Parts: sequence; structure tokens; C-alpha cells
Amino acid sequence: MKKGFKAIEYNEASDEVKAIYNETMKELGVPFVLNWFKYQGNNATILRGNWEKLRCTMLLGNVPFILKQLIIYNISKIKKSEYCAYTHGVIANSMSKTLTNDDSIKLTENMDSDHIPSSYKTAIRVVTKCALQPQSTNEHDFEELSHEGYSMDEIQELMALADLTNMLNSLADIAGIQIDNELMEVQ
Amino acid sequence: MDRDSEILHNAQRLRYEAFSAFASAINKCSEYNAIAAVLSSQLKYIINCYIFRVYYQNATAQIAFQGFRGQSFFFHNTDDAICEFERTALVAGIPATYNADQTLTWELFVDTIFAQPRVFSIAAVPVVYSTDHQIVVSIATTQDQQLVNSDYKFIQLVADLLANKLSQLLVLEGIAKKNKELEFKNQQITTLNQYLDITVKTRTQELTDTNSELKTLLYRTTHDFRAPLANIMGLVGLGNSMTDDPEALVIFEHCCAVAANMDKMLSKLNATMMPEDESNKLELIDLCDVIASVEQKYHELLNGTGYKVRFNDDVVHPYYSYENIVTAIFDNLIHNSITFRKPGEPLRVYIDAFSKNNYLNIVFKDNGQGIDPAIMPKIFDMYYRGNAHSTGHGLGLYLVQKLVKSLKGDIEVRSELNQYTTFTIKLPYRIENEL
Repeated sequence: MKKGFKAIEYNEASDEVKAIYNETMKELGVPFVLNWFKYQGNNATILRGNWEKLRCTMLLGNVPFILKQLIIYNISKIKKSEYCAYTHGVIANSMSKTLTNDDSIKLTENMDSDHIPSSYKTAIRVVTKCALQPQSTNEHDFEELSHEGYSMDEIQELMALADLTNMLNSLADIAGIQIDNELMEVQ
Repeated sequence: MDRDSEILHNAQRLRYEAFSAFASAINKCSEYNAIAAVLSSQLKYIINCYIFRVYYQNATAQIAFQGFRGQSFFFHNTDDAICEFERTALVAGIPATYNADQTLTWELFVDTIFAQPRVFSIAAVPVVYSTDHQIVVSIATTQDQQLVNSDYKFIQLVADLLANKLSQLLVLEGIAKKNKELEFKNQQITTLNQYLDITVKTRTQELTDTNSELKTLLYRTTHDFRAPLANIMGLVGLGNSMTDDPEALVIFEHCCAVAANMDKMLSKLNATMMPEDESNKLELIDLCDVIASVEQKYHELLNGTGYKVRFNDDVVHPYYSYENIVTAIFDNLIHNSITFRKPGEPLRVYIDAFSKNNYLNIVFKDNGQGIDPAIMPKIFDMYYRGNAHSTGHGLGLYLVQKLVKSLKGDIEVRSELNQYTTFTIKLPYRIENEL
């Protein structure tokens, strides 16, 4: 049996799946359906659950969207989840271009800079560690985030990204999701 | 662009984006607590800050915010130990950094939020807009997270934004305070008005009661007086028939005149009560009959006056009213004409009645002595006698006007001395549902 799932295009999708596709485009602000959703399009229940988790963890909350993208990118890159590292790297870098109008500047390549506030660097470092080795999470991790000024609510929001990214990576790897053509053009 | 510049650009991008989100959130704040929460959740994305403190002064208002480990607080009109440090920074007017080894400054921070073992240095950025409008943003950092030059630019932006927002909130607070004062004063006025309303109602009721009592008293008195008066007049008549003594007859004659005069006055006083008489009934008024009944009443007085009346009846629509009231109006007008007729000249009365514009118009004219223009404004006053030779009680025209008004009508008078007097009375027709 062939590994992976089949991508369900918008026109082939059931009404229920189409409705979820529409929600993803609207809330992510993109004019196409990402492959990550298409590869779950043959099971509306799973798609609904995973989309809601993604939406509540990545799109909602108080932690800046860019920081969340950087965390997901960093974890995915280390775990060699090609689809997720590429996708979230594109999203993070696209915000850089919007502001600097310079295609050569890539935020994801300069995360260790001293010019970047330590709250970003600490959050990326601690959450990446917790995602890669959840069992090694200790009081010091929480203390570090707290010293950076994160409240307990914000720490919970950050730690949820460790869980989300592992889910995103697992699903992308298991389903064999191919990088979206639309995102390839961005590269 | 070299790598260092690229990195700096990236960092600035992140900070500007964070500052934009911070400014948007601050602008939405309408309370100091909300500003403290925004500072706590978003300042860390703009600058490295282990602990932050903001001191804002505007005229007499002093507001401070401080935050540490994701917790934040604000103080209104604070004057804690850090204020001295902040005021010193404002006097200096330039950003300054104090390290933990500067003991003299550090003593100030004992028992303050800055007294944390990890604090390595404190940077204070003062911004003075005027002598009574200034702000200081102080940031405590750890040894491994020192401020860099670009941080100061962002701290200044944060300070400007906060000063603008806080001055806005203070203005709104002032407006809210004045609104509250106005609301309190309005409540006081409302309470006073309510009290006044109750007082007016009470007084009006008292006046109504007193008026009602007076009417009852007048009604009872006029009736109670008429019975003994009738007895006196009967006894005078009896006395008259029992003696031929000329002196006694003169006395009886005087008694009779006095009693008759008193009876006339009581009749007029009684007539003032007519409009309130609940037994009054609306009926079709025939003015010809009314005039005839009055002529019949004054038959003896009219004898020898050469009295002639010309009555033009052009009443198109039937007029419904209270006959006793209409009769009393004509009674007084004709009696006036008799009393104030011109000596040596036959008395003429001209009455025109016609319907016009939903009114019954009555024009009553005589060829009597007329009315002196000097007394014209007073002729309808109660107990006013316009003529020294008048034998009346000064109630006739007062009564006419009162009765006309009771029928919702109006009366006007025109006169020329020694020529004529004309009374024009307008009485509204009653609408159908009154009948």
C-alpha cells in the first residue's frame, strides 16, 4: 500500500470540508487552501479537530503571531520536517519583506542576533527544547520565561506551540504532504 | 548590505511590528489597569526589560506603572521611594544608566520593585514636555540582557505614546468628574422640583377647599338672609294695611325700599353662584322669550321711561345654553339701561342677535348716558360704581362679565358719553357631544 494520504482539492471536497477550507483561507488570509489541510480533506472530523487546534493555538491568543511562526519554524527545522519548516519559514520571512522591502533579508536566518529582544530568543529556545524533549522540561524553563516577563497565561500559550508543532510535523510527515506550489513560487 | 546591517534591520522589523501592536492596544485602553496589562504583556517584545517602571506627571496628577515577571500594577498620585530617583532624572533631562555598584543611587531602591538580586543596571529615560507635564520610563536589566543603543529610541517612542494616552485619560477623567457633579446638581434640582410640585399641589388643594367653603358660605348666607327678608317685607305689607297713620306709612315705605334694595343685592350675589349650580340644564334658548321675561320683571320701572326695544333676530343655528344665566345677563344689561338712561329722553334699546363663525353674537345698544372713557377700564370690576348718583351695588357689569365667561364667551364695550353704550357679546355654540 502506498504511504500517505491523497490531497482533496477544493472542487472535490464535501460541503463540510469546503466550509472548513473556506475558514482556513479567511483566517489565514491566503487565497488558496494549504496542502496541510487538503491532505486531511477526506476526513472532515479529523480536519475539523486539527484546524480548531491550529486556529486556537497559532492564530488566537496574546503572544505575537510572528513569534509563534518563528517557534514553529525552529522546531520543524531541527526535526527536519521539511513541509512545516518551509511553510512557517515562508510566513515568517514574508513579514520581513513586507516591512523592509528587501528580499535578501531572512528573519529565520538571524534569530541569534543580539539586536532581537531576549523575550523572543528565550521563548524560541525554551519552547524548542520542550518540544524536542518534553520529559526534560523543568522549573528552570518556566523560571526563564517568567524572568522575561511572560505571565503564566502566556507561558501556557507558548508551551502549547510545542505540542502543536509536534502534531503539525507528525501529520505532515505521516501524510507525506508536498510543499504547496503557491509557496514554492514565493521561494 | 553587510550581515550586521541585515540583522539590525530584522531586529528593527520585529520591534516596529511589536510597537505597532503595542500602540494599537494602548490606544484602545480606557482605564489605567488596562494600560498596566498592555505594558506587562507587550513591552518585552519591544525592548529587553527585566523590570519596568513608568512615572507620569501632569499638573498635580502623578501616575506610576510597574511590572515584573508578567505581573503589573499602577498607582495613582504615588510618592514612593522611586519617585525621588525619577524626579532627579527629570531634572537632569537626559537618559542615564545606573549600575548596581553605584551604592549611592542603589540605596534608594531598597524595598522597591527594583530590589531584585538579578538586577544589574537601571536605565532611566526622562521626557519633559513642559515643567508640569513629563514622563520617565525606567528599565531594569540583568547582566546578560543589557540595553543596546536602539533600545533608547524605542523607549522614547513608548514614553511619548504613554504620555499622550495618559493626558487623554486625565482629560476624560476631568470631564467624567464634572459630569458627575452636574448629575448630582441635577438630582438636587429634581428633588427640589418634586418638593415644589408637592407643595404647589398641596397649596392648590388648600385654596380649592377654601374657595369651595367660601362659595358654600355665600350660597347659604344669601339663601338664609332671603327668608327673614321675605318675612320683613310681608310684615311691612301687613303694617301698611293696618294703619292710616301718615308717619307710620312713610316709615313702612322706607322699610319696604330698604328691604327691596337688600333683596336685589342678595339676588345679584346669588346670581354669581349660577355657573356652579349643578341643577343647571342645557336647553334651547329663545332670546325673544328671555327679553320678554326681563321686560316683564321690570315692567313697573320701565313705565314712564318711553322704553322701546328693537330686536333683530338673525340667529340661524339654534343656541343651547343655561336659560337662567342668559336671562341674568339680559336682566343686568336692561336694568343698567334703565338706571343710566338720559333724563327727559325716551329710552331706546337695540338688540341684534346673529350667528357667525360658530358664535352667537349679541349686540346690545342703548341711547343712555354713555360711559366716561376715564372709568371704562374699571366698569367690570367688582363693587365698582362709576356714578356718584348710582343706587346700585357695583355688581351689575361684574356679574355680566362673569356669566359671559362662564359660558366661555367674551364681552366688549364701546361707548360715547351722552350718546350710546354698546355691549358686544360673543357666545360659542356648544359642540355636539356637550349637548
